[in-house]
Amino acid sequence: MMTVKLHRTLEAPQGPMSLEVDFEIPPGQLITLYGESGAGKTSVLRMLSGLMLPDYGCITFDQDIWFDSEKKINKRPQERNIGYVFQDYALFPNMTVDEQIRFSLKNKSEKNIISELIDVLELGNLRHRTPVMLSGGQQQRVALARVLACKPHLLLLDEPLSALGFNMRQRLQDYIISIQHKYKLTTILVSHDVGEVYRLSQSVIWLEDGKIKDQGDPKSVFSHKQTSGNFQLLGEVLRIEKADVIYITTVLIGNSLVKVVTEESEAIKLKAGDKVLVASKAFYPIIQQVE
Amino acid sequence: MNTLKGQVISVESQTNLSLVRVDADGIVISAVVTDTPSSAPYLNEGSVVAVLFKEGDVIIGKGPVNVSLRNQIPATVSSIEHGQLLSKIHLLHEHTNLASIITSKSVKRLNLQKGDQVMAMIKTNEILIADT
Repeated sequence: MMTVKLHRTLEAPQGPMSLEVDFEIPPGQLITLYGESGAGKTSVLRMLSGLMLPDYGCITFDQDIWFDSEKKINKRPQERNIGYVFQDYALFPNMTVDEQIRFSLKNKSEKNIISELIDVLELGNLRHRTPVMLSGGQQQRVALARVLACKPHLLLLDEPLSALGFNMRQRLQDYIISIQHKYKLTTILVSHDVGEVYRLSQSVIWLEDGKIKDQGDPKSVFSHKQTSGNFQLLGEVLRIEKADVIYITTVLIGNSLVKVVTEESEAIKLKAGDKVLVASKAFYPIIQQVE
Repeated sequence: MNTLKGQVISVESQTNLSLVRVDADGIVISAVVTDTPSSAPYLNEGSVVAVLFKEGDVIIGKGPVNVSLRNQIPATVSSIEHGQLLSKIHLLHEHTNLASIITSKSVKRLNLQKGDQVMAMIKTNEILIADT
């Protein structure tokens, strides 16, 4: 169990912002910090990893105290045993995939973990390549393998997939799911992609202006109301067009466009860019096999 | 979307399916949903819920009708918005406003006029029950 209580005043573009968070993570769970840019997500990760000093608060991991402002405890980043993966892969340009992973091994006798990670992240064909010969998605897999080789207690993923295209993102999400399954690492993911949050995390903390706006399982946090239509998709409004006495609202769901017939009183409340829940009764969708 | 607020008066469940009856200001609405009280806690007698159905799912009947639909609401046509293909019929049942979207050809065929007494009908599987 990890418990986190953090207070810190941050300099935001619109003036000082007070970041106050208080949450717990059960062992082995993946939780997401979700929110707009500037909500304080990355600052939370930086404080957890010891790169930013909280004004006050405490961080404990199992029985281990990483930070406690009252007891004047502040463990150095390297004593906290954290794996940190950023959007930027930060690989060594002159090292091969093999060497990158080998380099970060703490215990050089644990060579079998290298082949295991190469297996899990399917890097076998790439092990003798240097970063210039790898795609963005491949580089991010190497970055993940390198961090996992340190056997961290806590894995921090700061928007690791946001520089990748849609299909590559989906594949990397699959890798993160299988890593989570295999190593049962306590993991905190920072993401502002609702689909990603749904796919990857058991629990989500929604940060807004440095405060927790809502938390819980993704379904209850993102679908504000429970409905009996168990066909629920999150999307973004692209446009609203009038057609006779009705309106047609085009919604982007994943990478497909969906048109929803909308009544005037609802259509006038919607605008392009709105995040919406598209729900339908289970009676409506037609299922046809395509392969 | 037609949205009525009401109270659940009965729930009959069978595996993952329930037939729910809701009293919405005197209008009793039946809905079949793919949830049960255990998967959706608001499906319990006495719970206050929202009853949602789209305008396009409201059938208009004029004159005596004998059909399978369980939800039949007598109403008065309060106004009609005539479109080229579709028309929107505004309806009033006591204090409840409803709307229906049907083809303009049907409006013509039924000779629907403001003030007409009609039956608004909705199939049970087209009604969504939501927590309030």
